[in-house]
Amino acid sequence: MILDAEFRQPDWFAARRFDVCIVGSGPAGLALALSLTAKGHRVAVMEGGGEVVSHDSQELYEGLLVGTDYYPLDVTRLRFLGGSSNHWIGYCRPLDAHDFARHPFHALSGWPIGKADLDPYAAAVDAFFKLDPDTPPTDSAFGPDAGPFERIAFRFSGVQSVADANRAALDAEDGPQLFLNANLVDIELDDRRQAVTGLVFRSFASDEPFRVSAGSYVLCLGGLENPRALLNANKQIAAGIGNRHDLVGRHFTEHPHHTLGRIVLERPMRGRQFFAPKPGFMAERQVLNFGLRFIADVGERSLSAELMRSVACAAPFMERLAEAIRGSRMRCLDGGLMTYLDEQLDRDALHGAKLRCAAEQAVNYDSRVKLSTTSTDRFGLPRIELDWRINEVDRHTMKTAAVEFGKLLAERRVGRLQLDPWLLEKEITFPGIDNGAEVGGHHHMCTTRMSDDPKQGVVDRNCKVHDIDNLYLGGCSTFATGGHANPTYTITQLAFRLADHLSGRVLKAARPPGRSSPTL
Amino acid sequence: MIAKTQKAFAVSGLSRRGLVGGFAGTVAAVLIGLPVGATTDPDDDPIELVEGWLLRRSDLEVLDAGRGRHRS
Repeated sequence: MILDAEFRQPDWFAARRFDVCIVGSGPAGLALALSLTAKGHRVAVMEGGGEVVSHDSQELYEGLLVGTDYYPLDVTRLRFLGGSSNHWIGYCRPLDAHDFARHPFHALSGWPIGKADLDPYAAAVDAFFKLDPDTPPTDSAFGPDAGPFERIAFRFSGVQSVADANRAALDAEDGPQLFLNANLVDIELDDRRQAVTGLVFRSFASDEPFRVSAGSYVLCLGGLENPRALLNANKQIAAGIGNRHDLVGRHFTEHPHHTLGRIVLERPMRGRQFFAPKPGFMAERQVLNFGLRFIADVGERSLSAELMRSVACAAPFMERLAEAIRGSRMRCLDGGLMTYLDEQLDRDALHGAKLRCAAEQAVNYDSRVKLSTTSTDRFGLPRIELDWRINEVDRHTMKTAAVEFGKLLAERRVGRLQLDPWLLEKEITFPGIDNGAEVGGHHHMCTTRMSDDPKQGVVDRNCKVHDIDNLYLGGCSTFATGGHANPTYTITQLAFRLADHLSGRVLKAARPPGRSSPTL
Repeated sequence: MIAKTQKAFAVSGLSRRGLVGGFAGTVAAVLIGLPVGATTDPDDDPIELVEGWLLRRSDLEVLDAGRGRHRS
């Protein structure tokens, strides 16, 4: 059932106590809510925005950038029903087993859980995102063996918004009770400061706050807002909740996205081919994980334009390479008639491409989200400042990916790569957003990272905030490291896993026998 | 096909010297840590970095041939 807190009645929350109160209605929040509801638990979902995007809500995401060039903070995420899934493009891939491991050259690597802990939730995530079965590729442009690389696969979800995709379940009488326009403004603790007793919200039209109580609380606000909510809850603990070791907001990581160069292919490449390094190569070269993809640089698409291009694309490889080396525009990069026809037939075929890399980033204590001392939002809460840092491991990873993949292309006679000029500098600097470049994946990770050691992470292996009995976090702020894969799949695996944990261990212990369910 | 390829290079005015840019190309190769001439290619056709391009040495030989034909 979806209700609007803007039109709340005085008795909506005062006399009611939910099993779980979830804040945020993105993939983590809704997967968790629907799973808990299916298990028979009473769930409230509090969404700060409305059913559609609005300036009043989106403006609350404004913040300051003080580090590496990044997207405006009110653009890189969405604040309404369904959260940032509303601009998700559907890339799905779980993390690799070696993403969870410790690596000697990456000081803060290693998760307290492994891939085997998340695999049991793959089927639930597949269903949630309506994914086709996972069929790993067996061949590639390099043949079955791609040397130090392996061809990997992404699956693509057609779900445009997790709220729209689950609308019937959300509207159902026995579904979660989802409240729109409910903006979290405070977290209240008991006298011991070890348990949450309630969350305080405000709607846009009223100055009167309202309070929601539950047995357990889960913040699923994203990797920028989860730490902000904890840091802003500073009335009882000055440093903020869960911040005893000054870790909340630290370790911000992204997936740096950059074009490494352009490729002239010897033969047309069919299908979307993605490549990642093998674990042995990563260890030997001391690089983090990364994903490489071929991107068609598609300009105008019309039959006449493609007919003209097809002349260039029909030329022998060495002629096309010569033309590209000479410095002229790679006409064949844009496709040609065969590519045009392939697209009409829904077949991918590239004759040339840009090589793009989305890389894992080293977890860095100094890369962080912090509260602004100069800017507040309409509720008087400090906005955030993002100080994103790139370090030498990140640069080494990106450069090694480019050079080694380019060498393999030439060795195997698959194509020839021209490295982008920034990769030829002695001290490389990632291109900034001012160049119109995509600098990251809008993936805000690790800011409340997971560790069994409270001195290394904000949440434990069950996503519970250290020191707080009943406060949990969802989303990729809990990632210990980021891997290279888009995070939504893993976010949702963690959400289903958290639902099992809350259902099996917390709720059964907390619920008094015979208590009746509330109704609205 | 070979003739067409050579013709294309001739028209383009490509040459190995022009590609490599002499010293600059070698320096660039060193800067990115790619040993010029190093290869794992079973054909012993080393990969070279030439003005940002990762090319096989045989690619360059084709380019040279194209240039020579043009001049003749």
